[in-house]
Amino acid sequence: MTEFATTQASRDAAAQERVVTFVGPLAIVNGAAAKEALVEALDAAAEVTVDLAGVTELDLIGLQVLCSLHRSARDAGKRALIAGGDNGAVRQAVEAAGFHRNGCGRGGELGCLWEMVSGAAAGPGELRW
Amino acid sequence: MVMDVHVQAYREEAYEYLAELESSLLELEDHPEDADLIGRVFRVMHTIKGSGAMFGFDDIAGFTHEVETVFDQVRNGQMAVSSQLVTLTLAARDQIKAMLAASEHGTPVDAAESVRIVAGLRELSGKGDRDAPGVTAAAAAHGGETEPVAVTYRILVTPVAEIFASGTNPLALLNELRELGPCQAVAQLGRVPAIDEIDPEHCYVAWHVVLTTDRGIEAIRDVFVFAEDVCELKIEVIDDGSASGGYKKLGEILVEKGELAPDALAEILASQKRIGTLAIEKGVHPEAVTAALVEQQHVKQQREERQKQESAASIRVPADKLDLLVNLVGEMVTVQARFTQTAVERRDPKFKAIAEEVERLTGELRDIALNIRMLPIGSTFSKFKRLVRDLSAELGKEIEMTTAGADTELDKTVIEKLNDPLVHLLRNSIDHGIELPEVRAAGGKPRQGTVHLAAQHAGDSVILSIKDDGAGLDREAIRAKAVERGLIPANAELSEKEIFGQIFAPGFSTAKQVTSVSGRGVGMDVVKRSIEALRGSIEIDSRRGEGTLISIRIPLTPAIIESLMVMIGGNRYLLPLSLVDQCVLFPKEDRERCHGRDMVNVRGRMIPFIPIRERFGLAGKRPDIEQIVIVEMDGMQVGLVVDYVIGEHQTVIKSLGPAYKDVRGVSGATILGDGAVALILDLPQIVQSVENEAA
Repeated sequence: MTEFATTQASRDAAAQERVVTFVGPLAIVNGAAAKEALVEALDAAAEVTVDLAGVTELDLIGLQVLCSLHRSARDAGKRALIAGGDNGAVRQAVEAAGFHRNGCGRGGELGCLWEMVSGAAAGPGELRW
Repeated sequence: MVMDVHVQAYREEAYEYLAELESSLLELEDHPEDADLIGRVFRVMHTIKGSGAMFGFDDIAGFTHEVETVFDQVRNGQMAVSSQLVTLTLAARDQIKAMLAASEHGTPVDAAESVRIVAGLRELSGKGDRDAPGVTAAAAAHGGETEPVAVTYRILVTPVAEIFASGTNPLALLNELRELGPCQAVAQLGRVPAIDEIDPEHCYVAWHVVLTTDRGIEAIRDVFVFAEDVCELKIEVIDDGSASGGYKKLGEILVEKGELAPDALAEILASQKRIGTLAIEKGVHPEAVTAALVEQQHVKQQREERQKQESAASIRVPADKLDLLVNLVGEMVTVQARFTQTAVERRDPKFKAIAEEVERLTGELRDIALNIRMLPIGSTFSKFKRLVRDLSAELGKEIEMTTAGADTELDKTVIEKLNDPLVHLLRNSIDHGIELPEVRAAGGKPRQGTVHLAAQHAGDSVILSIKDDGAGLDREAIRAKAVERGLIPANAELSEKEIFGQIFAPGFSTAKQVTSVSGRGVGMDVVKRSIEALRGSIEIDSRRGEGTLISIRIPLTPAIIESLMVMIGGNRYLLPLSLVDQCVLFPKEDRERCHGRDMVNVRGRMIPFIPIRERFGLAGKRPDIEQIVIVEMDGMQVGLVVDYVIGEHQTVIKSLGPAYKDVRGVSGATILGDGAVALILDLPQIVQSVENEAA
């Protein structure tokens, strides 16, 4: 089983865009670490992209933190994006938890992550929250 | 208008259910312990009630609910089936039928009767009102888990925040629910906090789940049995599996779930925007709207699927459409015969091959088209059970009715036309045949009499028999009466069969007293005529003191028959093949040996014959070698002299039309392959008229 790991990188010189990459199980045992990484990223940047391509497992805790990040970003006038939304494990988790329909409806005009993750719109690229 | 169609459909369906109910109840009286039967009665009541309420038959729904409640008790073993219960329920069934009829024709129903039945039922159930009030209809219907009907539930799952600490994974619970049946879960994310406030070990999500399952509410509770302390659970029935078609409006769901105030809904409805958007403006959580939408979609889908399954098993077609089909197939058979004949004349092998193919397909088409109209006669039988039950009670007789061959199939129109004659014959058996219990006991018979109604296939006919173990026909009384009525001369020498045959004469009745049941002297002649109109025949056999057997022979279908084609004087005629026994040659020498008497010796038996050529006054010279077709009717053999026999023929019967309705000796006509018309001989009538002339 892949160990859980998180890495952060800035994509631009001004460090306004951050990429948080999760690898391994994004689940309850790693919930605290995931939260920490996301809080740090959102504090530092105006746009946070979470790369889920390497995630092997996603549970309710993982889904909740991602959802929470999305809300916080919007409340702060920032943006949250997701990469690797075509990961089968992610898609399955979103569906199993019933997050995939219209979600919380708080994504405003940007729509909802979950709908896009499991829907046809879930392409290989980045998805807007 | 659309509603009218549904209401009509409901009525039709309800009539069918009521018929089923009646037979189930009668069966239940014989097998009071049969759980399947009790279940069936309950389900029928439940369905009538459920869809009745849906289509605005509130009186029926309310009334049926009372009966259903009692049967729920029976089903749960709190009450036993008694004959009193069956009687009351039968009365209730009649009352429901009356209500249905009332809704159609506007004739009022006797409300006092409803009250009486309900009071009777309540009394029977031991004033079993202990849980009746307050229990809603839906709860009463779904209290028992034995119902194998798929029910749709709305399940609200709200885990406590610390659910993970107890080792319970809410997603696993959802997955267990999914195993019960079609299931849709919508996460409610409104409580998820901001990222810096979130406790990554708490659960903030709740779910609205819509689940359709036939496993019952307990199965749902079982899923949460170990999560009771960490999970708030609310389960409601939103579709009890009896309705079909669309589901509630979005606004109704929201109000029902308490998400939206009714007056707010009214306000929304008054405006024009989409209700979901407006509901959110009114402060409803968007995910709550989503959940309601999902629920709406889910139930709608379930209902549509149910409808599809039901319609896949059978479809309802108006009978006249079927008649049209059969008529067209009849034309087709005729045209095909011409086609085949033309193909043979052309001597073109390719053409002939196609003709043969068409012939084969037409044959199959004909069989299938006729088969569609075939119905088992059992439904008629079960109606008679009720008749026997009620009549014997009225007359103070103890009678058991037994049946056999209920699954024998007959053409639908034939079954309908058989109903009245059979009712009459049964009434005769009960009224005149079976004696009173005391009389029977004195005569060394069991007190209880039996009437046996049976149907069986015999070639292209069905034989129906009504047999009773009653007093039997009184030969001398019949004879005396026939003489008195001038039906036969006083010194006539008649066989037993001929004497029995007198009861079919118009105006004949031996009943000393006219009862409500029979004895008005109309009937048996009508019975005989109705049977003959179906091209059937009726026979009576009886032994004094032992009983009577009435046999009716009816052709399977009235539209197409197998016949024997014969040639007389250059014209072709058809005889029903079912009556034909054998064909023998009739050369000139034999004819001369008859010395003018119309009797011929066939293998040692003297058989009377009718020369059709003379009978019909046909011109032309008699051939040197004629043929005699020997037919059997009423147990008697009669020969028909024809020029020669052509062979068997599939005959599509065409009526002669009103202009020829008085023509005797011909029952119809058909169009042959070459376009010529051939007449179908009415053998019973020909024989009858010859007999009358002789007498």
